[in-house]
Amino acid sequence: MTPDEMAFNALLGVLVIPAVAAVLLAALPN
Amino acid sequence: MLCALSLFFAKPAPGAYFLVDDLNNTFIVLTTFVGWTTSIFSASYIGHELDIGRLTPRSVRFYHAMYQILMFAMNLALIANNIGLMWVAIEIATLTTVMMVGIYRTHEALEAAWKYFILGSVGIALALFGTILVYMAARPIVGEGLNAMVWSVLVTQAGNFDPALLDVAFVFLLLGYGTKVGLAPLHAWLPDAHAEGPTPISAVLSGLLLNVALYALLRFKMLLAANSAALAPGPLMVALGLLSLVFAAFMLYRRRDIKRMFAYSSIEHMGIITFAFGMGGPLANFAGLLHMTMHSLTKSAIFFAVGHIAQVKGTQRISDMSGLTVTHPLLGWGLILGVIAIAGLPPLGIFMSEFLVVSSTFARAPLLALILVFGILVAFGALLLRVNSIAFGEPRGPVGKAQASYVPMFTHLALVLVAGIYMPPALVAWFQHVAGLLG
Repeated sequence: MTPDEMAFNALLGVLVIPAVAAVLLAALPN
Repeated sequence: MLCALSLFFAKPAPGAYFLVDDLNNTFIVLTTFVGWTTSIFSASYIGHELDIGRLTPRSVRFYHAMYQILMFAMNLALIANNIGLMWVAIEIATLTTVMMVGIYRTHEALEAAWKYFILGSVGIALALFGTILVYMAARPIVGEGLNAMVWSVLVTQAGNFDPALLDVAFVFLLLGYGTKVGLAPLHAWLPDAHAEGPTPISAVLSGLLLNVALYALLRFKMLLAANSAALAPGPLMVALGLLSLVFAAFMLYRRRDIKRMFAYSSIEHMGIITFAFGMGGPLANFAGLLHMTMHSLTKSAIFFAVGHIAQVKGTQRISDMSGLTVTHPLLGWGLILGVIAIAGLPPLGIFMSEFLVVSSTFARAPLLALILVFGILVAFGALLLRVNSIAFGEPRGPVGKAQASYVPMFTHLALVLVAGIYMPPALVAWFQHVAGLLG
């Protein structure tokens, strides 16, 4: 894995967590 | 662009042919801005095509003339107050793009142009029939002649129109203009037209022309909403929107051509936007408007990157263009940023708009929201899988320097990033106001 690819995967990991959390929060009943 | 912005401050009074209100003002500003940045991108892109002999000086002159006519036609469709004039303008926009899709005169380009021409004509013929039916519904109430085609008159009198005629008209209009929006199963022209035409045209098709067709549909949706006895157009739009999203999301996995892949991504996003407008209400309409704006900016930025990538690599085949971050870092990372945005990751603008669509749907129709999230996730996986193979791995293909104009691409991406982090209250208030107009 090249450093570029590692940076991309790390970035993805960082970005996916808040995205999933936001959708789960939206799915929760009020 | 400045003229479009000036309409925020001084709107001409509506006439029999033209109307400028807050709804179309938003579309006009977006259209002129993306049209302007695309013309800057065009200069370097078309210059390269001229250098390598793919286009002749004569075809370049033809291209630029057609580009201006396309801009004129899209703006005319947006400011038309007469539903017949709006149809004519969309027809002009279709015909000019048909000409430009076939400009390379290759077998594939001509086939794509003909396919686009035939399917576009079928769609536009259905829309014409729908337009005539609206006139037929209006005639007994408004009277013979021009007034029965003036949208601002129609919307005030629509409550008295024959609802059965309006219902049939909307079905034809949805199928007709829906073909132009690229909604599944009426989308067959779209991937070919995007893949075989010059990339600036792919950017304008995806970023603008699909919006203009959707705008026409929204005008007629407002007309139906004014008649309580007519069918609710929302569920039809929701169904077509969801179908487009899920269908295009799966189709993304099978793509081998980079431009074709992003064409399917446009079908997916037009599905989300149509779904949002179909759900209706202040929040969903706001989300739809925001998503449409963000999609226009992001998708055109992606096509700016893709155009230059295809030029430096000499191919559009995904399998022949790996290792882009090594060979062409700016283009490679520009594409990655664009894909992160279009896939709907935070903190970019599309995440915000998709989140608003999803959260407003969860509150009203959880089952539909689940389908929506499923479609978005499937597309997300496909896009990341493909961008991984394009951006990283063993470099393939030519490694020569790109003669690219990066400013339009990074300007669009910067706007999308800023919109995701901070939207000025005045802009939020404007979108809320326009969303309110849509009902």
